[in-house]
Amino acid sequence: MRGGRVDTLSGAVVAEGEPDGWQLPCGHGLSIANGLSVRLTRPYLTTHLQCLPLVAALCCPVAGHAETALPPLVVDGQQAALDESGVQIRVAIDPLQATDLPSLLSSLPGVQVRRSGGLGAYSEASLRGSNGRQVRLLLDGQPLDNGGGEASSLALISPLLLQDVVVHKGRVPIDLAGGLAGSINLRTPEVLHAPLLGTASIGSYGERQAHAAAQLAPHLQLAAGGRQADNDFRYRNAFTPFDPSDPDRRRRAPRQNADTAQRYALLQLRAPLRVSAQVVDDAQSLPTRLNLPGQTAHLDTRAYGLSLATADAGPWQHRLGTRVFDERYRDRDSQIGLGAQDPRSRSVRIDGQTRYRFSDGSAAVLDAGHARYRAEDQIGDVPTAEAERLHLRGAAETFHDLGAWRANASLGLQWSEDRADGQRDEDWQWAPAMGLSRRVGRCIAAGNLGARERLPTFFERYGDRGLFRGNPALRAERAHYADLGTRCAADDGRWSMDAAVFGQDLRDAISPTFNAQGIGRSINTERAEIYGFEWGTHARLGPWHAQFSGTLQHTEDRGDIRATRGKQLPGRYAEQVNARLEYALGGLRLHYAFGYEHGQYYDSPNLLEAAPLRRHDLGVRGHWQRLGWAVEALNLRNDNPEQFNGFPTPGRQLRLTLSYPAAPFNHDVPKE
Amino acid sequence: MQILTFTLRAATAVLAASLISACSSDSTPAASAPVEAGDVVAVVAARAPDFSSGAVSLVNGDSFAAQNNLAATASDIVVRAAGAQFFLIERFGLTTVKRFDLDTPNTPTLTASTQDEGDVDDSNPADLILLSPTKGYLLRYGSGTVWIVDPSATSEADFKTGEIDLSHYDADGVPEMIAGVIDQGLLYVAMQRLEGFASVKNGYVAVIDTGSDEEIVTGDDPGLPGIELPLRSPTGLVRDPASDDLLVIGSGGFDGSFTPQFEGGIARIDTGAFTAELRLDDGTADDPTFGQFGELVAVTGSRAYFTAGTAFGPQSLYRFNPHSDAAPVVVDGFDAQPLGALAVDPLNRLWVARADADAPGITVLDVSGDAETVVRALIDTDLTPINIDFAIVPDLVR
Repeated sequence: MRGGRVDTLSGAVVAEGEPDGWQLPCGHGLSIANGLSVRLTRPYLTTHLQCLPLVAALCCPVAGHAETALPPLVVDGQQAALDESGVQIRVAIDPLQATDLPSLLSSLPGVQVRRSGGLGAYSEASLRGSNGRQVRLLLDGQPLDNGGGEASSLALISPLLLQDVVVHKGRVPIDLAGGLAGSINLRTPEVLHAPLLGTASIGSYGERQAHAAAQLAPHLQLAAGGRQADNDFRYRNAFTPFDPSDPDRRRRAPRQNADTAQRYALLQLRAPLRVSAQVVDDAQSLPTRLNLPGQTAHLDTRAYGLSLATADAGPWQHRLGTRVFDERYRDRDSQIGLGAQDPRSRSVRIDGQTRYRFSDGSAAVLDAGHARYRAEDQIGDVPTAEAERLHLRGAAETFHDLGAWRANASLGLQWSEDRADGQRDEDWQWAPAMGLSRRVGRCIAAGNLGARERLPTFFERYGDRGLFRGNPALRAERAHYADLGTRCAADDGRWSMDAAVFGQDLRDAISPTFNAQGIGRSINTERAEIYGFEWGTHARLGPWHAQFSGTLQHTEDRGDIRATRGKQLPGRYAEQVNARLEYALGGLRLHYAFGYEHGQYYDSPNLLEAAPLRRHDLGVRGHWQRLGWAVEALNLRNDNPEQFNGFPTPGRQLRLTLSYPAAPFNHDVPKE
Repeated sequence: MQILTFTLRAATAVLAASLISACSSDSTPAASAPVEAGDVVAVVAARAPDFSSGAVSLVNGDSFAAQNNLAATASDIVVRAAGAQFFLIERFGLTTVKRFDLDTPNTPTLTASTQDEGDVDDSNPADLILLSPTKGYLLRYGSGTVWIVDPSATSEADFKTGEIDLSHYDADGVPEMIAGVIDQGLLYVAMQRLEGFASVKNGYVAVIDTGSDEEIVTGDDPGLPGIELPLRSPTGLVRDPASDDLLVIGSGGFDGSFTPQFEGGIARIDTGAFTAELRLDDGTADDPTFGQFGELVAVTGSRAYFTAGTAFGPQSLYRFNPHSDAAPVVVDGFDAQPLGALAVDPLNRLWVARADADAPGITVLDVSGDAETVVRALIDTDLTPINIDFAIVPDLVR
C-alpha cells in the first residue's frame, strides 16, 4: 500500500431545406429552412443599418422575403450557424491542420478543452461553463457514452475519420442525444473526395500518425489508421528528488509513462441502409504527478460500434446502433489509487430511434435503449459487478411563424430504470425547450429557453478506478438554460460575427467529492449558476484572413458548503481568447494562431489558481502536385500548461503532415 | 487580517525551547512553565470538502481569531508546530515538507522533497517527529525508511541527515509507518503493514534509540524487533501523562474493498516491558461496540478522549479513563457528529475538529471538570480541519 489517504451567417451554411421555410424579416435573404439548417437567399440586405446588435434586431419590422437559395459561402475553419434558434458551430476537418480533436475544438468560442497530456491522453470538452460530463459526444448522431471515464474522451476518436465536427450549444435538435450543456456531433463523410486518401504525420515527442481511406464502391468506404506518441516532452518537475547539481529544479526532465497508442477502423455502407462499423483499440500509460521512474499504471480501451440507419430523405427515419466498450485499468503497484487494482469493465449499449418529420418541419422522435455494465477486478472486488439501464424517450418539436418571428418548441419525456445490486431506481426526466428567432438585415437574432436533465453515468454510479468509486444513490442533475444572441454576415462572406449571452442554473449538480480517506465519489451538490458572453468573428481582406473569438464567463457555486459557497466552479476558465491570422502567399498558406485562457481554479475553494494558458502557433501549408503538406511549430513559448492539476501538457512541438490528395483550402462542403 | 506578529526577541528566545516542546506528535502539552492562552497559537491543517485543495489556519489561543486559507496546497497534509514556526507536510502526490514562520505563513523558509534519488514509489510522508531544534524524524508511509532530518536546515541539501530502515516489517518493504512519538529518548513508530489496501495482519511499533538511531530488539524475534500490537491499522500514538506508557489507537482498517475489518481498538504499550495490551476493542461487524476508531488524545492520566463511528460516517466523541475498566462515555453534544481531529492544547483544553461542510471549524472544550464545558462553540476555519498542533510563543503581539 503506497496510496494516499489518500452563418456566423457565414453563409457556408447548409443549403438543403424546404422552400417553405421561415421567411426572414426585413426582406433579406436569410431563411431558416424547415430542416436543420440555415440558408442564404437573395436579395441580400439592403442597408447595413439593420446589421445591428440584438436590440435593434428585435425591433426590426417584418419585410418581404426572397426565394433564391445562394450557393454556400466558403469559409475556412469554423462556422457558427443557426439551427433554428440554436447555435451550432461547424468545423470542417482539414487533415493538414487537424491531427487531434482537442486542438481542433479548443479554439471555438464557448468551448473549453482540458487535456491531461500529449497526443492521445485523456481530454474532454465542455460547453459554456459546463463540465465534460455534461456534454454528449456523438459519432454520426450515435452516442459515444461508455461505462468508463468521467466524460467521453476526445482522444478516442481520430479527427482524420471525420469530415466535420458540429458543436450544438443551447438548443439541440431532438433527434440528437443532447447532453446537459449541449452536444458535439462528429460527422464522417458521405463520400470521400477522392477514391483513395491518405494522411501521415510525424512530430515531436514520438508523435506518429497514419490514416488511409478508400472509396471502395460508390456507397462503400473503408478507413483505417493508427497513431502513437511517446509524450516524453520535457518539463520542470517540482517534485523530483533533491539533486545537488540542480537544487532549484530548473532542469527539464522527460515525462514518464505517458505514451499512447491507438488503432482504428471504420467501414461504411451508404445504400440502401446506412451501415457503419467502427473499432478502436486504444492504450494509454498513466503518468503521475511525481513523474517517477518505474510507473506502470495503464488504461486499455477497446470500443466496437455498429449502426444501421435508413436514409434521411423521407418523413421516416430509423436508426439502430450498438456499442461495446471494454476497459481495463491496471494499477497493480498502487501508484495512482488506494491499493493494487486491475479492474476490467464492459459496457454494452443498444439504442434505437424512430423519427417522423412532418411536412412543416415538425418532428417526433421515439428512442429506446438498453445499456449493460459489468466489471470485475483481477485482484480485489468491485463495488458493483453488474448494472443495467433501460430508457425510453419520446420527444417532439414544432416550428411556427409568428409574424416576424420564427418560433420553435420541443418537449422530451424520458423514463429510465437502473438495476444494480438487486435494487431498481426509476427516473423520469422531462426536457422542455423553446426558441425564437428573427432576421434583421444581415443579422439574425435568436433566443432559447429550456431545461434538461442528465442521468449519472455508470461510472459515476457504479465505477471503481483509482481513487474514485461509484455512488449508486446519485440522482440526475438538472439544468435550466437560456441564451440570447445575434449573428451577422456580409453578403459575400467576407466577414461575419456572432455574439451571445448565455446562462445556466444547475441543480443537483453531480460533482466529485472525497471522504476522509481521499476516496472520491460523485455527489449531488445543490446549485450552481453559470452565465457568460461569447463572440466570434472572421474577416477577409485580400490575401489576409483573420478570425477572432472569445468567451467571458462567470461560474458560481450557490450551494451551502461553507468553503465553496460563492466561489467559481473548479476547472472552468473565466476568459478565453483565440485569434488566428492567415496569409495566402502564392500556393502557400501561412498562419499564426494565439490562444489564451485565464481564471481557472483547480479546486472548489479557489485556493489553487491555474497559470494562464498562452499559446502561440505558427504554420505553413501548401501542396506539391497532389500532395499536400504542412509544417507547424506549436506552443512556441514552450510552456507546459496544466489544465488538470499536476498533469503538464507538451511544450514546443514541431509537426510535419502530408496528405494525399491535397484537399482544397476551401473545402467546407456541407454534409447534409 | 494580520493577527499574529512576533517580536524579534520572542522569536529568538523561544525557538530552541519551543522546538523541544514540540517534540511529540501527540499534541500533549510538554512545556513546564505556565502558559497563557495568549501565548498559544493553534496551527491547523484543513482541507476542502471535496479534497480538491488544502490550507493552513492559524488560530489565536486566547481570542480564537483565525487566519484561514494560508499556504494553500493539496488536501492530504499534516502540520506540526515548532516554536515560531510550523512544518507543512504534503503527503501523497506532493511528497514535500515545507517550513514556515508563523508571521509569514504563505512564504516557506524551507522546501524539501521527501523522495530519495532511487525511490520508484511515492514516499508519501506521514508525519514529522521533532526531537530537538536540529533533529527530527520524517515518517514516510510509502517507503521502508524513516528519514533523520535537520528541521533547522537552511537549505534542502542539509535537510536529510540519515535514515533508518524499517522495511523488514513488511514483505513488500513498505511497512506503512503512520505515527510516532518520542518518549524517554526512544522513538516509537507505529506501522500498519498493509497488503495492498487490505489490513490483514497486526500492526507493529518499532522502537529506535534516538541517540544511536539504531532499532531496539524488544522481543525474541530479531526479524521483527518491534512490539506487535493487538490490533490492526494503528493510526495514532500518544503518551500516557500519568505513566511512561503509550496509548495506541487503531481503526482496524479495511479489506481490499473498503469493508471495515473491526480489528481495531485502543491498546496500552508498556514501554518498560515492550508489550502491548488491548484496552478497548471495537467489537465485530455485527456488534460494533463503538464503530471504527478514529482519533485519540490523553489529557491526564485519568482522562482521555477518542472518536469512533461508522466508516466514512458520523463519529462520536468518547471520554474514558485509560487506567480504568469503566466504559467510555459519549460526551454530551458529540454523539454521531461529523467530527475530525482531536488535540489538547498546552492549557489542557480539548480542541475538536468539526467536519460539517456547511459549518466547518473547531470546538474548544474545557475538560478540567467532571463534565466538559464549551469554551468556544465554533472557530470558523473555512475549510474542514484535519489536524491540529500548537505553538507556544510568548510575547506574541496581537
